[in-house]
Amino acid sequence: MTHRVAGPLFKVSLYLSKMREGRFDKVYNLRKGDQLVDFYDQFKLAHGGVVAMQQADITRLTAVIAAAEAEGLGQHPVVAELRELARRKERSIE
Amino acid sequence: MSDPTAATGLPSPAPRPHHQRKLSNYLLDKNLQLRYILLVTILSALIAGALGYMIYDQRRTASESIERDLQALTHDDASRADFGERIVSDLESDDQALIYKMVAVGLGLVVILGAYLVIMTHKVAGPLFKVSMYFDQMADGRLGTVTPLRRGDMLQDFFGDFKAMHESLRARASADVAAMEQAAAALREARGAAGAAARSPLDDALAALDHHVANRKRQLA
Repeated sequence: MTHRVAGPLFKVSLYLSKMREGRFDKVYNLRKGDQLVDFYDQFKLAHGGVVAMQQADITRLTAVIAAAEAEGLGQHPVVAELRELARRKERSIE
Repeated sequence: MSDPTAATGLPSPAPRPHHQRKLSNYLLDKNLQLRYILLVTILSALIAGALGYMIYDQRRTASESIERDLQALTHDDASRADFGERIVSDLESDDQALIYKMVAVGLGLVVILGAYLVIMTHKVAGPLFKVSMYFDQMADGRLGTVTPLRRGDMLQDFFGDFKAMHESLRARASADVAAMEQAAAALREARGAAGAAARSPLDDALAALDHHVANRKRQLA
């Protein structure tokens, strides 16, 4: 019984460690028979919310980078920083 | 940002009216808590019942042995028959009293154990409930500050992991917001230095970025 509660918590803890390091890769389902299914579902939604934030950032950054490049500012150091930021965010959700 | 701790009775900066404690306050996750309480209580009741039966059986065996010995002793002496019957009656009533005592103790055990388990599981369900509230906020893209658990709550390590992750997310998002803000300002300056006058797609993209940054700041507030 306690194992079925501790298991999902352990799994969430592992994902929390990854998220702490800025890694938001895919979240897998619980084992059949595990407890805390609702809690885990809420965690998945939270994870999805964070991923959505990263994607929104990427969309904005990509638009600014493209517009800056179109205006001939592609070599500007700030644009390079934005490219790196967008790349980092893309890597975090792969 | 709403404070998820309010639902778990945590102290908050603003004075709050005194709420009467109800059983429902202790059963935050009824499904999990009641299942666990029921399982442990039934198991305990079965074990206590089995032990009680063994005690009663041993006592009854001893009583029957005494009764047999008494019968043998008073068999030839009618004058001692009353004495024998009284002893037998006393033994039977003692055995009966033992059953009542054991049932009372067993019921007391179940009640005390049930109450203890409600409190103990509440100390687990409380932190889970609180983290769930933060999960709901994260799902909406909100990353406000996380307040600590109540003293005596379980899952302190798990909550510590969650808090560390949340703070890391907040710090990273704040740094990203600052970087995007600085980048927008620098690009506007660079565009101005290049002498561009008419509104361009870059202006629109930077305006959208400003809006995005403002929104993100609200989410981090």
